Amino acid sequence: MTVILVSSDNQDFKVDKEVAERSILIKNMLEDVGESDSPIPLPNVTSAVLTKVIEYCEHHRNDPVQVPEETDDPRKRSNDIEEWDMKFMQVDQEMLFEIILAANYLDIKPLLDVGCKTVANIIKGKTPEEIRKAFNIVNDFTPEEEAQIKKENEWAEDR
Amino acid sequence: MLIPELLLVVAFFCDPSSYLPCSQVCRQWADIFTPYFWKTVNDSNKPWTRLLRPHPNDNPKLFRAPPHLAHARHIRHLLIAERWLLSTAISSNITNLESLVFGGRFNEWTYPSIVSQLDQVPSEVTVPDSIFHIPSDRSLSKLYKRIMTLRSQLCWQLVFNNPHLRSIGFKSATSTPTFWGFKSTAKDAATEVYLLQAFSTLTQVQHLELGKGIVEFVLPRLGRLFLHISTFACPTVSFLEMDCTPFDVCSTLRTLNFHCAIRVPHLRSILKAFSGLQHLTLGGTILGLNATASDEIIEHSSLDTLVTVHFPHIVAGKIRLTGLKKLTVPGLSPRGLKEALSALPSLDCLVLSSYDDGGYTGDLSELGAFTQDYPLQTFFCPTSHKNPTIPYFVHLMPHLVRLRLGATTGDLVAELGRTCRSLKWVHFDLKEPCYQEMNQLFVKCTRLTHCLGEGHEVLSSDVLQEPYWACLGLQELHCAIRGVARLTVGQEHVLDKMRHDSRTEPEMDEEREAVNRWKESLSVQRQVYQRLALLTKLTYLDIGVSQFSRGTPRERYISEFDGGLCYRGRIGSIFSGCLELSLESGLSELGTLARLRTIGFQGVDHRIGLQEMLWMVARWPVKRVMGMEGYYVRQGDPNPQQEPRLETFLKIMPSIV
Repeated sequence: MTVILVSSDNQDFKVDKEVAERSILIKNMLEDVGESDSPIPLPNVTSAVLTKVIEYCEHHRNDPVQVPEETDDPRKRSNDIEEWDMKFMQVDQEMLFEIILAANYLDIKPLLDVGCKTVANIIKGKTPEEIRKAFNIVNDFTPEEEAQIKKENEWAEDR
Repeated sequence: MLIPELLLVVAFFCDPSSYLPCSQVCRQWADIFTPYFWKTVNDSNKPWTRLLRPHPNDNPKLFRAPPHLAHARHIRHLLIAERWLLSTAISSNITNLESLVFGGRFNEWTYPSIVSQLDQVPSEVTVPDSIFHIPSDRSLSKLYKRIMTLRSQLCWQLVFNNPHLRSIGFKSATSTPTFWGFKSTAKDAATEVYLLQAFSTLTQVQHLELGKGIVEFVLPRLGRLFLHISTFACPTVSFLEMDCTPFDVCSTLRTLNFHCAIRVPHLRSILKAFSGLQHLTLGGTILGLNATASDEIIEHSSLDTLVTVHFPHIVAGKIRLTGLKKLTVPGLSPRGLKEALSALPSLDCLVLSSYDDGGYTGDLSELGAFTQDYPLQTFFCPTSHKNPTIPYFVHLMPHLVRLRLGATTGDLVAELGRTCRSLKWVHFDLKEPCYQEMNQLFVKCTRLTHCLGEGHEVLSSDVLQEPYWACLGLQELHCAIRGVARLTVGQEHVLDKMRHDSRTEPEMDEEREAVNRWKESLSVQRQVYQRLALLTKLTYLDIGVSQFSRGTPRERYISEFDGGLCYRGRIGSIFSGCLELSLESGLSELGTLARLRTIGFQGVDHRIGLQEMLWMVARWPVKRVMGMEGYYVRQGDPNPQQEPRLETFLKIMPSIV
């Protein structure tokens, strides 16, 4: 059985129900609607992003359902991304954030996790200034706060 | 950038070293990452080692700790090894801790400011000094006693300030105590009243690690004080002096670790009180006094794992561990073993952790009298080579499934084949080649799935003789195959020359001889490969020759033809008489090993060429190759012209070791 997903720019995507149901949002929608072949509109997801998301769901169509794990589990740290996922996430930063937002909206937890792990990997080993540069963030600390941070850093650094 | 909700998910996956820089990016990030950064504070680790110390610009003579931690409310896990943090933690009014550990040496500075503090206990401290047992020993200075008293007060104040604590640890880095113990409650009723009241606030505690002087009060009352307690450890006490009133009943405790001596009566009290105990470690000796005739037998059914240095005292203490499945002891005499196995009807796994033979000095031949079988399934004794009684142990255990031994003799391997037909997993090194005994192991132990260790070797002639190997479920195998007829270096030269001249028909006697030997060798090898091809479940196959096993190293010979290349090992020599691993010799039969992830052929004169590599990668999900190294990696021999295929090899093979 297939379902039709419609992206925000009105493109139709025909996918297997099993693949579409990796998204909990879609799964719940399908359950609510029952047997119906009307297309499912996804107004928050562009066709470019939806293509990527479907690619991910296709690859992971047979994965077992993720069981919620204990928080604070060190195994959940960012270094355990599968090889395929790692390659899949090699996209420009705008696309990376779009995928994360889409995964959040569509409720695809494993994809959300992989996206956030990828961001965590980008952050690793960077200074605050390098992080700002990497993600285009404006430093909005007051000069006093900035001075305090500088003092803390000077002291915390191992000399 | 991401919305805060998603940034929280990112923070969850971040490396702890990222928390500090992230909290300094912008205000939004600061709000999200600051609690993460402060969640776990350990003053022995960076960056806390410096962050929590007073700034050097502050007056160094005063050397005062920072008055309070600005983010104290975020701290959940706190490890304190220095006095600085202890004082600061008290003044910062930390109340949300889930775990608190006191560790390290607590080096105190006797700067004037500290000494003056000692006379004036901070107003936040309500724990009275009267509850501590302060030795009257004159050799201890007054200052030392004051330092210890205040430190003890501060520590317990911090504990009692945090009602959500789930884990409390008092660890000591030195043998001398870091804190005072409590006064004996038998002599001081006021202390008991105070402590009972103070401990009653800690309702969530699950893990406790306490030292001398505290254990004596807490352990007997564990069931009353902590309704959720599951592990209790007492690592550094040299001797346990408990007022041995009956212990409170406590069914939640699962794990109890003593690394100190314990008396038999205490052990009996412990097992009586802790009915749900599953893991017990008695790292110290068990002292004296067997149970008396009037003592009842104590039966404990839930204890699953016991680690002890001396098992016989447990039997003598009239303690019956009816549910015990795993016993770890340094060593047992054959008689001790018999007693242990009779006393422990459920025992499934025995670990002898040292080479101690339990003081056995008798004549080994008398052991023949033990005829009873024991249902033990797992036996680990990695130092068995120092224990002469091990063969007799094995003889008594026909139901063994998992076995780990140290360096082993041929006789013992023969015994395994005779007695232990249920073996699935074995790991032992061999002291000496014992080809037939090894082959018999594979013939007789039909359920074998793992056979690992150094020095395992079989002869090709044995492998090809009925009865054949019956352990077709083998998944991991480390065993060299020796005795394969191979060409001499001279014969290889002759064959190469024929190839060079593009001739296949021999013309001279020496050519005829070489060709015939070649054909014979290929035929034997193919048959061996056909036997190996039946082991379709193999994921790990190592037919490498151990460097310490005997054999004549072979002279190096490098053919100019692909597939006719033999490498010398990086360490040691290569050996003849092994399989070739060329497609021509029958490697192609091994296409059935569809699960093979690791292949090893260390020290084997292997003749693997480009074709073989391509074949392996195409047929096997191979991830690791051991033994490919050749002369090209040797220093002083790095002529790439000699091995133009190297680059291709490295490209094809995933991980060449």
